[in-house]
Amino acid sequence: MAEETIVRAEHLYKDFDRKTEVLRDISFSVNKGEAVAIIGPSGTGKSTLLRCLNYLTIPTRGIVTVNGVRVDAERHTKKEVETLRKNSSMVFQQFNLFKNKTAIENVMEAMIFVQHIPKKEAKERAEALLQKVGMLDRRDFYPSKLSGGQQQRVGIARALAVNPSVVLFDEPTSALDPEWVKEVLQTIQEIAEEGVTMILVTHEIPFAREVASRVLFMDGGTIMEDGKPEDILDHPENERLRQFLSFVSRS
Amino acid sequence: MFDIHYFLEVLPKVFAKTPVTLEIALIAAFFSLLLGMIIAVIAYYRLPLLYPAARAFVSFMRGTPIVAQLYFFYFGVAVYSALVRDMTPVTAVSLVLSLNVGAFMSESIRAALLSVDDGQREAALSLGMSNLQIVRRIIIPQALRVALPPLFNDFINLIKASSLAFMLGVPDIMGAARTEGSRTYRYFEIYGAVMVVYWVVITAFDFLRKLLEKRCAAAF
Repeated sequence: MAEETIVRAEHLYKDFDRKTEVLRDISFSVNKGEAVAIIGPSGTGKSTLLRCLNYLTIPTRGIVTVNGVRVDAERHTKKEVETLRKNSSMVFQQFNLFKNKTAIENVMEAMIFVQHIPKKEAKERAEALLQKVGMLDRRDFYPSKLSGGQQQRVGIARALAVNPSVVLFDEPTSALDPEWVKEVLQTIQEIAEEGVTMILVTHEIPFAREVASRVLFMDGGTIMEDGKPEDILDHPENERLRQFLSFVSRS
Repeated sequence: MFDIHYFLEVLPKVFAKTPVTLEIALIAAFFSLLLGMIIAVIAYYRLPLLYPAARAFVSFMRGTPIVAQLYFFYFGVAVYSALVRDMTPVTAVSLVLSLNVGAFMSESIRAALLSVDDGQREAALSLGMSNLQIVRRIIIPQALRVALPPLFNDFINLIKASSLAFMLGVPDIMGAARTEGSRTYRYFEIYGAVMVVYWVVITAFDFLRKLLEKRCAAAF
């Protein structure tokens, strides 16, 4: 059976002000149902790569394709970028919930105003999603009244609400107090098990081992390793990767 | 000696002109708010051509005295423009105040727009929302709460600046005081009464501000 490619990055480059090169010739693809974890030292372009996939950061060169929507960095239109974004969604390190909207309104917002789903149906679906992330009892709470972990779970429900082809997780637990990390990771694991395609930038190596079907190791703006978690994390061959893993396990 | 009887006699006379002051202040508040919002959005998005023009306008309005602006417009521009010559003083004052306070309000609003963290804008973009949707549904509702205190400050300054209208012969609070002063020369009581009236009016608006802020704070 041929596997369906959902995300493809071809020769992506990103530099800021034509000086600092953050991404150097990145190419990879993600198939439907895969959960791909991107690991690597700080400042190696993991988040930049993720943000290039939905053009929150515009690549300098290269092609991004999500669910058949192909955008070439050197000649992209506003329309293409909007279409690209409609095919993915993102979970942010700082949650970035809309502060003037309740939990359920956060989840419903894009359903109603981007996907034009009738309000009643959107509400039912939003309730189901909040149920899934265990936040239904907080549906009418504003973000300011929710803990970090609760906000992030609403963030995950909001990201799932638009029926994305792929969900991009940008260090979803890095800004959380330790006590909230577990509930968020558990939520992510549950949706990964449901077969939601996801790309996950994370520092949680044990979590990557458990949830990811594939691990990419990035260093210096390139993908150094790409393989199964057990190969990458348990039998690292690359010297930089070995250093990184021993450094992470120590801290 | 301070004549309390005269003070109490002149106080209602001055107070009776409050509607004239409020008329100017409220008309100018409406248009300056409108202008302030337009300039703030231009500055927020740094729209080409409009942005430098708006910057120059704000810099000029903030950098010149309001009395000079008023005289320049009402007496200076009038030399060349029949439109200004035919204008009533109240209209002229309202217009100049709208432009002046609008420049100040644009800065208050711009700062409030910038106070909404970029993360929320990014989140909305990542979901496929358009810029217009983001500004209308996410940014402005939150900016409003932040903008309220400085906008009220601008409004208070506007009420006080409207007292310049008497220089064009408008019979507002200050106008009434001048008429009374030329009759009795009891400036101490008269301008004491003027200040009390302004103080009461502004305190009343400040009470309104507190109520509004409380409601906004409870909102989210």
